[in-house]
Amino acid sequence: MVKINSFFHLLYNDLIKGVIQRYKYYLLALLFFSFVCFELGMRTNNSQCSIFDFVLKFFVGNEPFDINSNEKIDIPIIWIMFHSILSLIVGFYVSDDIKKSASALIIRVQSKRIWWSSKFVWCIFSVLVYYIVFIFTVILFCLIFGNLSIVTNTDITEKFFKIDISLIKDTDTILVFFIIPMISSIAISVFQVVLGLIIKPIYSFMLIVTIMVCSSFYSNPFLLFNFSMISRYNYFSSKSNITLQNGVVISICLIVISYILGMIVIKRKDII
Amino acid sequence: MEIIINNLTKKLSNTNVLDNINLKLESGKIYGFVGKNGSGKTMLMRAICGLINPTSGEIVIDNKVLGKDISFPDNVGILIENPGFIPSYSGFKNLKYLARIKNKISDEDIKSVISMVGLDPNDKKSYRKYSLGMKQKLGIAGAIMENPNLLILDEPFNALDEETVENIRNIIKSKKDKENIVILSCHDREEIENLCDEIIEIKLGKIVKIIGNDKNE
Repeated sequence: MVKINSFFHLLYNDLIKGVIQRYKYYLLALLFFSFVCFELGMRTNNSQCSIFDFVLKFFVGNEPFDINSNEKIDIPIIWIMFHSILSLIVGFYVSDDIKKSASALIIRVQSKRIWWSSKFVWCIFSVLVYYIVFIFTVILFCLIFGNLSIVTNTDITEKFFKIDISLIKDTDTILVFFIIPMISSIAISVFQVVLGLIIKPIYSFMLIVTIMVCSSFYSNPFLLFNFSMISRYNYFSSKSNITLQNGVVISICLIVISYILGMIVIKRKDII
Repeated sequence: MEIIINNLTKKLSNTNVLDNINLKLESGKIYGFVGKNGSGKTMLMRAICGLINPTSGEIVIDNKVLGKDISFPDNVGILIENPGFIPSYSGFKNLKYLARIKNKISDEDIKSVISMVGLDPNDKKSYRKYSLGMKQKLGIAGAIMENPNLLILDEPFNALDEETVENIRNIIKSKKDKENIVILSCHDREEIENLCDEIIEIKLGKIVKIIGNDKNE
């Protein structure tokens, strides 16, 4: 009971210091989402983008790199920006907190495990807030452009994103558009936080961005960012092993491994 | 309470920041760590708190080995560098938040300890607007508020005016009883000599001298 109480106290502390007092990062995200949505809305001449059309703008991704292809390399800037901002939000708070208040709080709760659990939940919460801000912005722009609908506009998807969205099963749509990208983002974020405890957070951030860029070139389920690129799913290429099942299993495995690894790392880490 | 440090060594980047420390600390005494910046005072305090893992040697607290039998000392109050308060909260709200973790003291106790260090418990000013001295006072209040058996204060007199220093001095003296160990570090040798029963001089991670101070016994 005391441990649960301590955990919630630390979590409360992390939510205030790590989310509410870092609202500027989320404002930056809001600006970025707004800019991209506005740009799509204008480019489509107000032809009433739906929620999924806007989401597709962020998550469509690109074709994997093909050495035999003559087409120029297409780098998914918006997709990279989306994940880079999230990486920036989660990447530095925990290591900052170790330098600032960890010793006082760990001593008070008498447990590094509780401290780490709080940071772990904070990280998940931060990703959820990021996605909530994202969805909020998309809904806002749907209202502005007058089509608060979840039905994709095939004219837009084919013209601007060059994919046939009808190939995705209706029952899978929410999973592909929201749930799996969010779960994979959580997995990558907690992994980044753990890496930041082992190496310097700036190196951890750079490593994650490198994995992100590699994911934009190669279609491989172990390059986890692939699960947030809708065009990489097996609906569009029968050979692709970017499937919903792989997405869920690999992400959950990485989340569990990161939690356990973080526990081991923090137990051995000196709080200096 | 008794703390025994046996052959404690801590190596960081191939440097011994603590080098074969042997020390016995007993309750009813105030211990003062003196030494230059980087001599290892804070590192030794952190080791006693269980915040760093020794490279070799051990710290035994009441017959329990730190890091094996217990993870952290029981009932410890610390002020080491950053107390980790929430910037948007007032002093009282910050201490109340911390006190609720253990739930041992009342709001009145918190207000009384805030007054004791010379702050106004009803001041609504947020911690981020506190001066350096006020932050230091609140840090000391946070360390002593639950009457810890082991009180560790790293440079408690930093940024304090003479009147407050005298006040904190009296508070530290009042914590000296049969149950408690007080450890503090300070650059000011004279301050340490006035307050402490034993002065432990640390240089390059080694204890170079332990001086008993009869005038405080």
